[in-house]
Amino acid sequence: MKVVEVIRKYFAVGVVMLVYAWAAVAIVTYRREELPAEAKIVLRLGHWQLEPGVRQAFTRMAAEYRKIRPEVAIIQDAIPESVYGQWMTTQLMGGTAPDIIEVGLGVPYNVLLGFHARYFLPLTTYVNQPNPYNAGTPLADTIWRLTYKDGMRNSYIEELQEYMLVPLAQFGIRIFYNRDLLRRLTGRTEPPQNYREFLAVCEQIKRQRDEQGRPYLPIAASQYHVTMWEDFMANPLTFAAVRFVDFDRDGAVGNVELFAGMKTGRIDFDFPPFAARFEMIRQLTSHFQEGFTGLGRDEAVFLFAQQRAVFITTGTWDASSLVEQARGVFEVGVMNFPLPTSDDPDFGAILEGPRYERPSATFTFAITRTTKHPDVALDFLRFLSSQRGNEQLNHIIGWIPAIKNTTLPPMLEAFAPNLQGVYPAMPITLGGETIIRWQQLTSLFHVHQITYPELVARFRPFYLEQGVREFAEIVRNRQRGVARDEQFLAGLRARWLRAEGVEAESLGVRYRQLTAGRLILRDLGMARLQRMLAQGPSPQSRAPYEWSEAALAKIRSHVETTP
Amino acid sequence: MGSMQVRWWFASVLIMFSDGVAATPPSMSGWDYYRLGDFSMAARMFEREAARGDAGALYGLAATWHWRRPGEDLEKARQLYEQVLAQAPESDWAAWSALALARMKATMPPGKEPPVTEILAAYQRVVDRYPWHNAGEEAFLFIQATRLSQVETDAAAVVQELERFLKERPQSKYRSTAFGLLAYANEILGRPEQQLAALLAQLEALETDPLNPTRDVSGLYWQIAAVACFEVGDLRLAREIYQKFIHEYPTDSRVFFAKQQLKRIDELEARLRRERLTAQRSTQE
Repeated sequence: MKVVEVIRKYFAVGVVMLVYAWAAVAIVTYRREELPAEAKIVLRLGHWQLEPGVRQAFTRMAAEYRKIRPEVAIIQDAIPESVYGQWMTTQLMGGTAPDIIEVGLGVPYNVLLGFHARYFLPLTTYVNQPNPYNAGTPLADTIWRLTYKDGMRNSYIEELQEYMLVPLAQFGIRIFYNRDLLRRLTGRTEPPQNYREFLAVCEQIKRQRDEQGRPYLPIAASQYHVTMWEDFMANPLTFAAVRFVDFDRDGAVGNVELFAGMKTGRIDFDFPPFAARFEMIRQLTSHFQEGFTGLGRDEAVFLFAQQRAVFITTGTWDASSLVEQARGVFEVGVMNFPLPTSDDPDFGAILEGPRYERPSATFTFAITRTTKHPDVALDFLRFLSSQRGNEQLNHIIGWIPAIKNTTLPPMLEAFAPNLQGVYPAMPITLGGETIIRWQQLTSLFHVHQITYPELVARFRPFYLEQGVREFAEIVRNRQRGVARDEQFLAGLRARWLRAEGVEAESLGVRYRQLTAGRLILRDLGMARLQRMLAQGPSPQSRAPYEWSEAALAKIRSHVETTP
Repeated sequence: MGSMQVRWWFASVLIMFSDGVAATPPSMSGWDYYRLGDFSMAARMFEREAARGDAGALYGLAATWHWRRPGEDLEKARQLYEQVLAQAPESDWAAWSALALARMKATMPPGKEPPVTEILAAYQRVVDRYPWHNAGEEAFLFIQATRLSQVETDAAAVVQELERFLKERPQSKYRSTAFGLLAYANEILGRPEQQLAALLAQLEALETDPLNPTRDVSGLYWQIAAVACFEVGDLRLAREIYQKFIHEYPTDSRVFFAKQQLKRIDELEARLRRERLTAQRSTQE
């Protein structure tokens, strides 16, 4: 009787304990089985890349590494994206984090900053030394960070003044197409080479029907995809605005500069490059499927995989899975965004060049402070980011290497970033209200319910009136943001004052440069715009990149006096 | 609640319960905790050290109450800064405390900020008390920047002040910033030659970090080239700087634009030469 009572009382606890014990034994056994017999050092590597290729790539690279260091074994913790933030947080705080961990998902930036400072090892010293795995290559004497195509820009955490991350790949966005369907519907073996050809091909595709009588779709799109089409094809058309409203002459147009330009009559919505942007979006979206704004990414991919559509745009991160879905059914091709030619009737005179693409290395990893083998973890990351190692890793995954002098996998050759070109210059929204109004109106424009002149007629008066309040709010927000910079600089100042020798000198330079940029000179750009706005409309004013009378006179005189 | 908010909440809760968490090095100072954003621990450490009469710790405690967000206590911070000034008036910490008191006025939340004259007076007190200290020089530059950021500004007076500063302090480590302000003041006054000279001096005076000698001066190059080209008409200099920009920053987004500018310069010169030839021919005829 007593025994039964005890069993009843502790049955639930017993079951939990049994399951726990079973799980613990299973994990230990599984981990043991994964390890090669000769492994003396085990490195754990945590990441969230569950797409095809990544885990296999790490496994193969680990095997390659073991040829050099047979005593090291690498175990992967591949965690789903949806729980990665929580997983990383608990592992770091519990002191059980992997030796090497992928960083950049699931944790807000301000929390991540704390993680960087508390849980990850600074790498500044090492990124300023050559990578030993580049020996025998043209990068042998180059310091590690400069072996990267982007100079390791994303690895530097300014708040900490340290390099903290090792990136392993680059991403890019292009158009993917169904080669077989393109050939069947248009007779073409090559994709269209320019914008007009592309539109003509889309028209041809749209006229044809499948076995069930449904029309083929030229482009599979969704709310997720429309911004890519805009970013790569339509937005670069607005570049010319930089010559009219880049008042601080930094080579780019900020939203406050554009507002000041609009408010003072220096530029307007009828500026031909702005109107051209919308005309191109209208032309492109007419080849998207009906109701694309209500669809998600997967639905568009489904249409492409089902061979209902010929083109879809996405990034290198989807390349392998698209190829995988199409395997044995159709061949996937990759093409660049088709640009208008210089004689294009609508855009030839507007588009000044191809779109600039900033080389930016991501897929970033940090070394955790709890690792028992920081030197080995660093060595493995150096191996993966060497010229040969990074090329091999990315060839296996099907991504773009982050290191200079590497080759791209054949399918990704179209992804080589374009390093010289134009960039967008129409950041129209300022704050909450203008963002909402703009989104509402552009959504209507996307589905062809209103034209660009109608959009302008409904947005312009609101923008010019509400914009004044939102401009003032931006000024106030900048003022509120000072506290964060002051907080950071007070910490850096203390570090400088307590340091010695060359470190003190270095910290002093960094402190003064950051204080100048973030505090002392902070408000001068806004003050320039406030003065312009206070002076009122000035449509005839000289643009920032237009010669002054005095400059022209001097140049003329110089030309006259020199042969 | 969105998934981002859930993650934020989750991370925040874990951080809240993680004072002195695992993986934190054992010998951390108040400033280490301050930089990690653990202001409660920082305050505790500073209080302990300040009790031993350490002015630096007292300043750290003041800075913690001044800049911690949320939970700042400006009145407490002000008292602590004044305590540093009274306790060790000749120390570095006192000079930085004086500047912090002035910054406290200048960085009041929107709607609570005092009149500009009061802010300027607060900076001036730092300049008067610590004229040769880094904090005094920073205060001087804050005065000039505050004056230049007003819609109605007396830029000519600022130019005079800055020129005096630069003349009297050839060794100052803030010369580059002073030249930057001087360039801006000359821009307001419509004096492009002086603006260009100041921008070039700003570049020349930039300090180099001995541990990271590669510095990004692409923005300054861009400004110098634009002013030389479009305001001063010094095409030789503009060409030189645009070419340096392209050479030194080959992956910068503005390389294409820089090449366009070089082409425009060539085209302008060619056009002016053609006009001169046409004029010469018509004179000869």
